[in-house]
Amino acid sequence: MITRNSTPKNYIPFNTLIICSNTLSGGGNLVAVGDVLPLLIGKGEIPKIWLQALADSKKNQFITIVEESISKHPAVKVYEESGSLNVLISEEIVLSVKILNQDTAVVEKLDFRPIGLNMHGDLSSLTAGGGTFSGNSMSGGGTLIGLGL
Amino acid sequence: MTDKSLHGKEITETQIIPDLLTGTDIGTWQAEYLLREVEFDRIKYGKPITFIWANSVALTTVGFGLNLVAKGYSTVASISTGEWVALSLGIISSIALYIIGLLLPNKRKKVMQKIENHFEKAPTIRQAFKDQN
Repeated sequence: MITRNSTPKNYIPFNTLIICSNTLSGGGNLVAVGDVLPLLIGKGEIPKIWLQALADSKKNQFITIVEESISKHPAVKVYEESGSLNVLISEEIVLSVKILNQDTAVVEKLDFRPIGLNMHGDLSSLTAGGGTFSGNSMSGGGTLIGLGL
Repeated sequence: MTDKSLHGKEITETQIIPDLLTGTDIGTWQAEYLLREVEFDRIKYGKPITFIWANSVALTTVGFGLNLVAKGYSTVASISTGEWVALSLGIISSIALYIIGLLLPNKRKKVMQKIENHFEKAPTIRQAFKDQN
């Protein structure tokens, strides 16, 4: 499992990550469930994505379904199209990421409901649980959204 | 549902969302084997009866053999020819019954093979499912 204390060797965070109109600077993460980081977006020629899905919501166990932008699961497809890296589960887009420049990537679409997290958003805003987030900024490498366990 | 909405703010700490988990898990699924009653009966009773006989005779022969060990421990000569014959007969008939069992149609084995083939070929797929609890 990818956690705050154990991230993959090849993961180099973007300095700026714009997720559904919210800007994280300084290598921050979008979401943490306890210590687990379900999503990592790292630097690369194409964005390097690690995505974990809930395997058991009662025990808070996650399994990696995308590792360094490679699908680890038959139901998950990862492909690049016109500069965006897309992750699909059962033909639905779960994540779409585009690199703006060497230090910046943008999440254009996100829907983590199929992998057990109540989060979805597009270029205008992000909905997590009952809250919406848009146009916010966070610096210092923190985590924007969390579920303390 | 929580209603924690922030727009155009400078966020300094992690926003805790209590209802972040949807209760959906990624699980492993494999097509089940549809066991018919006749197949269940074949598993339960389909083994040739000669296997059971072979087993009984073999166990009796082992018991008899142990008796002979006790008797002939000090002097082998104290075991009579008749006893050797009885022991050999036990061993031979047990093997013969087992071989007959192998030659007889074994419906239990056929069903077990069919079930094994099913689970070897039925693809295992993972899918998201909603927790019913």
